Amino acid sequence: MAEQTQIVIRWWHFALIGVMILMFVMFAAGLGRDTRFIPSPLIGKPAYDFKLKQLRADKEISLSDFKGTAVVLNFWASWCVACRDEHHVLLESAKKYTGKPVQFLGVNSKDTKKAAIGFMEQRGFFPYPSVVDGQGRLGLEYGVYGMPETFFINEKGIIVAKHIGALTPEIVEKNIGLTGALEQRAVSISDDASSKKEVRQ
Amino acid sequence: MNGSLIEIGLGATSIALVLSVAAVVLSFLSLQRGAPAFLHSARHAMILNALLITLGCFTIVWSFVIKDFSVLYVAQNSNSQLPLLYRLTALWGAHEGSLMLWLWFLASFTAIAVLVHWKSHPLSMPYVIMTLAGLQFGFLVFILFLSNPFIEVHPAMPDGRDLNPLLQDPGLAFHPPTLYMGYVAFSVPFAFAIAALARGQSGREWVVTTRRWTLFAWVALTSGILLGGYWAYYELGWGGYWAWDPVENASLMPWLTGTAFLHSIMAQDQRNLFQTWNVFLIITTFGLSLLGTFLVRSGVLTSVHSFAADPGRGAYILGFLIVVSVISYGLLIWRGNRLVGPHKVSNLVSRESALLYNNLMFVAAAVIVLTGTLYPLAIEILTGERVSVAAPYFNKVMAPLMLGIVLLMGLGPLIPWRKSNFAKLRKQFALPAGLAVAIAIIAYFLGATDIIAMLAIGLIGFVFAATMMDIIAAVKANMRVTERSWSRSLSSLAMNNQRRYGGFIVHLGTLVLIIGVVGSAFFKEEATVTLKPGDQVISGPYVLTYKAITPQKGPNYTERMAFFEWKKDDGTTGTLTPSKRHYPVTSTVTTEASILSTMLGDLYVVLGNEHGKEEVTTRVFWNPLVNWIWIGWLIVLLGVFFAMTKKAPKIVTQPKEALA
Repeated sequence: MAEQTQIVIRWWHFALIGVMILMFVMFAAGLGRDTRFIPSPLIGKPAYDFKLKQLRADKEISLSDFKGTAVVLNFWASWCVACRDEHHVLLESAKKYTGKPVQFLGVNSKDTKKAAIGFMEQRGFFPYPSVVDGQGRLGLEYGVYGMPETFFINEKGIIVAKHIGALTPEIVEKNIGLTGALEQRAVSISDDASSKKEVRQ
Repeated sequence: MNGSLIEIGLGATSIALVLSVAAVVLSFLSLQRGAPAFLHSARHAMILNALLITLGCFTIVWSFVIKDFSVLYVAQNSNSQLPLLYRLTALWGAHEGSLMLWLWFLASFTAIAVLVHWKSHPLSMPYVIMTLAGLQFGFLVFILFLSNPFIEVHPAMPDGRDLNPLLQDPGLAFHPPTLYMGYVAFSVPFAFAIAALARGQSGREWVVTTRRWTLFAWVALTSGILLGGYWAYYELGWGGYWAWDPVENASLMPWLTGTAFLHSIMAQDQRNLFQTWNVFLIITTFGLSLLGTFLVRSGVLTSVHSFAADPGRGAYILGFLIVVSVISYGLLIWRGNRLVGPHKVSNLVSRESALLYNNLMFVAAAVIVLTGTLYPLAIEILTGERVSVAAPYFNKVMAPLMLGIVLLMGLGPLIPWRKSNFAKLRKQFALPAGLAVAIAIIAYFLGATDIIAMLAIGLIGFVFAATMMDIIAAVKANMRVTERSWSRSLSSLAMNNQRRYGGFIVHLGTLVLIIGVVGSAFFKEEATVTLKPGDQVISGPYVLTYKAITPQKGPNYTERMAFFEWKKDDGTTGTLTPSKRHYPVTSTVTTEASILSTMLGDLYVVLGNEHGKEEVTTRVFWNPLVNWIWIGWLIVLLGVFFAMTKKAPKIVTQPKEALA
């Protein structure tokens, strides 16, 4: 009991303390990040094309149907809490971008038709189609885990941004900006006579 | 009435919080005042805590069973249509309940440890209780204040949402609890290591006492990791089982250091070596288990597993991790030198140095995985750029290390303690080595042109031959002495050396598992093709002919089922019928992979999109030897349980210490 405590300093003490401090500082810095902007390996890659049935119509649609416009691909489900938070953002944004070369497209994932329709009856129907991805296979292709997740695809079919979690109007605007869909129109005005006419009218 | 049930759970868990503080204080007082009565009370508090937390978990599970949607957690993670099995397993379907499960394991293991080791370790007990009660306190605060599963909503929701559909699978239902069991079981050896540090007790006592705990934790962690792979392979349909995802890595890191620990405690047990190192390893292993929880639950890393990310919770876990590390590594630095025994590793060719090399490799592997996992985070913090460390990095760096570990697996157990020499080694290993070279050359000409694959195959042969030769030699010697039959000799040898023979079984199981990994990693074939009826695809030893796609009717679905005929070189044939199902009621489409699973490999067919005129895109995988992985795992399980049958020798605290 009476043994004197003496610390014998060794080289590994410094190594251990150093490594620990380094790691904790890193984690603390990592926590400070906005985790909603999580990078996806898919960014810069062509978006996976699909052909799926629509939720409210018997027709199938493909992503490639919208080549030439930017696509906002939103994965949602009735059981997902954050999807409720972003619902009004999607309704307003879709309205705001009507007439612009931006197509909104929903992917109703791992959901039932009844619950999905009920969800929209309660909160308002999306003014754009949703396709049905019942088993979440399309979600796997896009590396979706948590819902909601939203992909922003440019007019060439390349994924330019991905957002995890509920959308806000600012996020939608910023990411649609990244697709270049709005500038695209400005360029085409200058070289295309017919659209010049449209603008004059 | 139902509302009050979940309130009972909340009450029980809150009392557990108070008791965990009480246990820490009481153990401290028992040390300060030398009064055993305090420690008795602390012990009772820990046993009571196990019961209270069991009650807490039970109230949640019961609310799932009776579909009480006034409980928010129940409403968020189940609905009235969910089958009973998944309502039961929904406890760990999301964050709050997962932590409750973590805590339940911790409380149960604490109670078991306190009951089992009470009499034999009176002097360590205050420190053990203090450590485990402190950990319970940390988790209880987190659960009650930051992730409470007992919250009620009034009025109750008419029906719940649903359990995360990915969890509605038997494979995945059991993957998280098994993994947690492994993580948490390391807390008991950890607590005993802290006790050894605090007491400055340098003997083999704590490692011998906690050997079964370590084995149990290791086998649970191994099984948890493999169950995850099994599920990914059969259910996700991407044809693989391991993707070096950050969350997978998070579970692999404590496994690597835990495996190092499992081996190096033998040196402390047998030769009183590596005392400080073993304490370092168990602190690191348990710390990495906590880190695993931190990485999964805080959203600090990008991963397919990232659940609802919550920085507030992340900050708490980080704080908790810092407290645990500062206390335990601090104690190691402060008291570590008192553990060092008189012995040193004296010879480079000996069992102890083989264990040392084994440890270096496992720890190096853990460092590599850790760096690879955290590198993207570091780069992002420093430069703001986002990178991802992909599988090729891990495969490239880990493969040579794994080869080294396999080599040691053959050498280590056969080299004697203390001292051997190269001449002896040459004699002992010449034959297996020759065999290994022959096997590697044959493998080369059979198509294993990749150098890593060739080496791996040769080494597997080497380890197998060396191990079997050793066992056979021992059996022969035994037969000579006892004049018994070989089977009775073998069984008597094994029954008297459960640890050694259990270890052999685990090693052989690992070899079988590695055969599966090498086979599926190096000889995999994969093709995505668009087929017309009559088209053929060659995959592995099979010729797959696409016949037709037809509509079928099931009980509650219609499906487009494709017919493939497979034909093997030996003339056997059969059909595979991958399909796409459409459930009209729920408007869901499911893709059913069709797998021809044999010991040689799996022919794995998944349907993609149809393009009219019966044209269909198909993904065809040939995954050689995948079944060997699961079989290897079963052999490993068997070996560990056999090794666990060996009771720990009773080490009663030396009287000299007891007096002091």
